[in-house]
Amino acid sequence: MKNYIERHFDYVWGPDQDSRLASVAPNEVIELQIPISANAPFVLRSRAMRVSYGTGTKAQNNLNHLLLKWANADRKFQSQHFIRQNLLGPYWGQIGNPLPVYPEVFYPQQSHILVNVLNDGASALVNVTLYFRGVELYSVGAVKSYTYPPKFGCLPYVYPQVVTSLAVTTSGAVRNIFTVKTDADFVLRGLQAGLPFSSTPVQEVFIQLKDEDEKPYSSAPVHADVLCGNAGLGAIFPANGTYIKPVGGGPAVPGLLFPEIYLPKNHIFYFDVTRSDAAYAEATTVDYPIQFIGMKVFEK
Amino acid sequence: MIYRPQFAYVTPPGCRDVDFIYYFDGSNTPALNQNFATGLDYSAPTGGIPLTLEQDVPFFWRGLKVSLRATLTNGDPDAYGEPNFTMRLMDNYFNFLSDDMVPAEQYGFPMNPLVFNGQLLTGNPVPLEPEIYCPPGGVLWLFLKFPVTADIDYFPELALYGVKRFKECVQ
Repeated sequence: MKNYIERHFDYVWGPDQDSRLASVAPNEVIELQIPISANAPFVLRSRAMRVSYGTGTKAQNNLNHLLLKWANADRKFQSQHFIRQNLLGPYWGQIGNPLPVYPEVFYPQQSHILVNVLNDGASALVNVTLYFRGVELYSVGAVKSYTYPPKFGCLPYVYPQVVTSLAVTTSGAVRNIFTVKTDADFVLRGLQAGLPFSSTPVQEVFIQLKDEDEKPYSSAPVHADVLCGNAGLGAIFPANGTYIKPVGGGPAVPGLLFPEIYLPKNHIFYFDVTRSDAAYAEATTVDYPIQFIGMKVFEK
Repeated sequence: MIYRPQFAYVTPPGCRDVDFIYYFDGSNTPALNQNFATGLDYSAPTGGIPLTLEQDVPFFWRGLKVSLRATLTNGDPDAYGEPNFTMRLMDNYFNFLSDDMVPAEQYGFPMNPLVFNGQLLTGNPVPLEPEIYCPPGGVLWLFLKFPVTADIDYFPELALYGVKRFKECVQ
């Protein structure tokens, strides 16, 4: 694949894409066919999944009862049976811990990711959303692909961004524009986001990254816990018949973008944010922080 | 600069790298020997807290970790606080490492939960990529801003991870 440009991309498949995922009943099996874009082949390298947070504690109820099997482009499954997804890694691929897919799996344009979903619990799974993370492949010149100058110096750097007055429920995406400062280019490598010390619930926040031509880096908005990672402060995950706090998340393991996104000085980058917290009675409008983590590049 | 894999740093010929941690708290940095729960504000660009490095050899700074001692019991850090504050750092050459103040739990506090299996402060240091060269005797600057909290006392700590680089014949 040396003659192609890799571009970070996440395929998102949830209740907005297939209404059956809004509530997966106990013992129900659902077959999904996630279409790959006609624009570019997709190389799958990691996965994640989630359900909506419950209305009491910040828990994704019964997520440990989500079982999957998924197939490659030839519709050959990667397992002979349904696999309980928490057997594969911590936190279902959230908070900076994507479930790795190795070797990578190649999907041509207009192929499908075939997925079978099973709920083996006693309660419905609410708003199941699956994330297939990897890269799209483009011919050289087909998409903008900025890169480093011939000679440069660099400095680790964070651009803190704040989505001001993010409503409890947004009608469509709230457009936000990040502008790289004029002193240096910026290489975006990771993200952190969240508001763990808010006194009111901030649970269902989704972000879609887009380049300066509004070409998106995902097929739909990605939940902040998946895209950005965070320490998971306040959240608890099902384990051993109870719920426990996540361990080891946070800025040491941010939501990584691979490959990194090179943003020249003075260029813009979009991050569209949606929020859907109407189910949480005490939710209020908040200022929502997002950290763009990476490196400044100074041309010499 | 040429391409190299991240974190795979090479020690130059004739030198020896030694793991080193700079640790700053109220015992060696007077400005940190205060209860920040009163809402202390060290966020002004000219009002940071100086962190002085040793004068022997250069330090190559590769990671950091901040924490928040919640109580002082005979000097024993027996409890830690949630990182509800913002922070910013400046290197020895007056380059800020962020565009503004950043929430600590998304910048340098990878320690959720505060207690795990009875042990305090889990989590790895936050890597700085690339490393930052710090000359002998250099001064880094720390900027902090805390909200007012009534129920607990807060004393911040900062650890900088990296290597000291010795010439082979010096150490």
